[in-house]
Amino acid sequence: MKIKRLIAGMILVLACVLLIRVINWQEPANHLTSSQTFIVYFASEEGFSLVPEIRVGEGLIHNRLEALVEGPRTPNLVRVFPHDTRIIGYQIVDDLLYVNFNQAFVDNHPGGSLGELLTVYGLVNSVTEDPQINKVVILVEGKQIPTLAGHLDLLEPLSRDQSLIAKMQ
Amino acid sequence: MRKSGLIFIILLSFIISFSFSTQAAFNLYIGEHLTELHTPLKRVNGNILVPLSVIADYLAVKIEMVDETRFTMEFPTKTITMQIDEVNALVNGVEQVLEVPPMVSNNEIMVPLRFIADALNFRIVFDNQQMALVLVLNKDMAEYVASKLADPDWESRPKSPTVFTSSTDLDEFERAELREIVFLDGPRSRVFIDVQGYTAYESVLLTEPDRLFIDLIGIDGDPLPVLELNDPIIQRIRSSRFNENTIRIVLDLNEATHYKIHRWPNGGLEIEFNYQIGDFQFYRDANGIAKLAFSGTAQPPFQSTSFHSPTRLSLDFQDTTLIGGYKEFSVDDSRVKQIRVSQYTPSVTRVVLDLTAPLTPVSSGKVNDQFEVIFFDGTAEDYQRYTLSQPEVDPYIAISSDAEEADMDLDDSEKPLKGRVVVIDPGHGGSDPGAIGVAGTFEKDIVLDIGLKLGELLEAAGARVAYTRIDDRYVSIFDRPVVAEIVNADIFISIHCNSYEGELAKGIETLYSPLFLENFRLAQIIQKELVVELEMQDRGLRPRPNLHVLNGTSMPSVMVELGFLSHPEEEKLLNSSQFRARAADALFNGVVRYFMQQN
Repeated sequence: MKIKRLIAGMILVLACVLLIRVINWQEPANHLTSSQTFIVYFASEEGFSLVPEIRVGEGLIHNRLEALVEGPRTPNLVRVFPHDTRIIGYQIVDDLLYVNFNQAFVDNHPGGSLGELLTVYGLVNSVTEDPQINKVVILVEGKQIPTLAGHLDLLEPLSRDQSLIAKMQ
Repeated sequence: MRKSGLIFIILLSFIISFSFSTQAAFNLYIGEHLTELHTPLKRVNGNILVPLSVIADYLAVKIEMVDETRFTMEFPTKTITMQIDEVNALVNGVEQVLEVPPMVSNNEIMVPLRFIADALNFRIVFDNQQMALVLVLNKDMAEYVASKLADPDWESRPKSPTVFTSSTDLDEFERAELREIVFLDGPRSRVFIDVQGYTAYESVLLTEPDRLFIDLIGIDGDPLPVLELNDPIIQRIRSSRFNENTIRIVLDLNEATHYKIHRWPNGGLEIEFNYQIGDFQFYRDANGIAKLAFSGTAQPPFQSTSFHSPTRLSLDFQDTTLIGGYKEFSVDDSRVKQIRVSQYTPSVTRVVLDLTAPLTPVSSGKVNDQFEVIFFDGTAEDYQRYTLSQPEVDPYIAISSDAEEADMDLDDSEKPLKGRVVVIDPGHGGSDPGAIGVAGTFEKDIVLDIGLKLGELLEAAGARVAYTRIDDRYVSIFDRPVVAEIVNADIFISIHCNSYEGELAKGIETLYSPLFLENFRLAQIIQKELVVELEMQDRGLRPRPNLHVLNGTSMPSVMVELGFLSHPEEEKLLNSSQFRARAADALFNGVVRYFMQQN
């Protein structure tokens, strides 16, 4: 029984090798990690807190940023980035993440301390889910800005603010 | 042992995921061992449930019942606690959520295999030859299990609990069904294959003609009509029944592009194509600004990294497929010598600029169907210095009643706020309108009016009042606390209106820096006065350690948010002069009460 299985296995190995040579397989890693998920934060409907949304995929910085730009998929959650926000680029220096936004990030921001907090900490809390990142610097068209909507000081690197995250029941 | 290990590894790289034929039962291997299944495996919402006794017997795991429904599984490295019909589980004491709860079937507890495999770093593969699911153990666990099972004492283990009255009876084995193929909007080309239930799949990218095959295995239902698309990457999506077990979905592509497939937890597959980019060119525009132009299906963000010795800059364009392959070209420029473009990984295009002097990407844009990255000649620090060298507006400090004037009011010793100094900070102003209401109201106008009204009340009560602004002008958040420091204020009150996406958020909140208890006391009194007087929703006190105007002051300070301009009714209220007078009254009462309770 065991020998039969071994032989069957060997045949399979050969078949695989041949097949892999013939056709261009996608890296199997993608399939096996398909159960991987990561968390990004969006705002609750009435703005009381940030709420985690689970996304399928690898928790890389660009995936997190892309999810934030795309907006929530969960009903009743509210996007934290203003409309037409685009990420120009980002840079990781040690544990510091620089995110460079386009001008719409500032121009289309609705204002209000609540909106400003949820925008900024929706970003900071989402990217600091990555253990490599501890602080975030927001750039707009490559420049640091003193504030986004007149309440938060954005000239200092920003750390995670756990208090804004909705408590689980 | 080793050979079969190899087989499993090969299986791993070959079998794309589980595939099930039909409702027919299939086998489960745990490591080397074919398990004896008294209760067949169950599939619920794409999750495989296995009998707990099998986990106990073949993984040499000790099972303990905590109570009637709760049980722990003690693995050598991890202890997992689950509860029947509960989605909350504990892994080494840390709470995690299960996609499917453990349940009772056939008088046996069934536990989700994928969760256990993930928690312990095992892998699950499907052996097509044997129609069996294989749980591939890691080396440590395999050795542990082998030694335990060889141990004669282990055989005498207490039999794991199996007998239960059924609390949930499972439906028959679910069979996956293709429901819909949806092209998802967005900058990336994305397709969602909506499948009811869990399906296995295999995917192959082929060229000439360029197309992507996705075979859904073990699936019912009919193929769907052809979907013609106007997308830079996908031309159309076809589906057909390949055999009784398989539906083949074909995506006809304009050009073979790398893709990723994500399985959605509740069934369905999301196919995500890379952006396509190519035709990189470097040039300087008429103003001498360095630019890197390229063509593409959309503008992908890039990760930039600067390197020294030799000086170079790399731009990693994420989720991109490079069209045209590797390219290297020299550049006639004062800072850039050469540029190399390559497909660094299947999903990253790396552009390396070999430099003679530093260059920093600062912006990006789109010009005539071409995307471009715009550079600054210097380091990132140089750029910050350069932008900060442009002068800011001068701060403006308005102090309405100075000390001299207040001191002349000698016969006012009865006034409740005699000798108190209050700084009023109407938010925003000038070029910064603050929040803008749904009907177009500017926050800066509302808060200035309330601030001035409050100032009058405070002055009448004997207080000295200073303002960060008394007209419509811009004052930076850095200059506002300075005013309070200059006049040595007793308290600082920043007046704002709120705003939020949508129209649901409404009410009043008072923000304070939690660093000092006195801030909390002031905030508590003022919030209460506001809510009672204005009869609006009480959103409560908000400790905000991050607000600069509150952090920059050395005296008790609060920021009041007097309603939402994004809420149509509250905007109407804020536009009424009567309401603003009531708000000023409420703030005034709060200030008086604060000072009275201080004594």
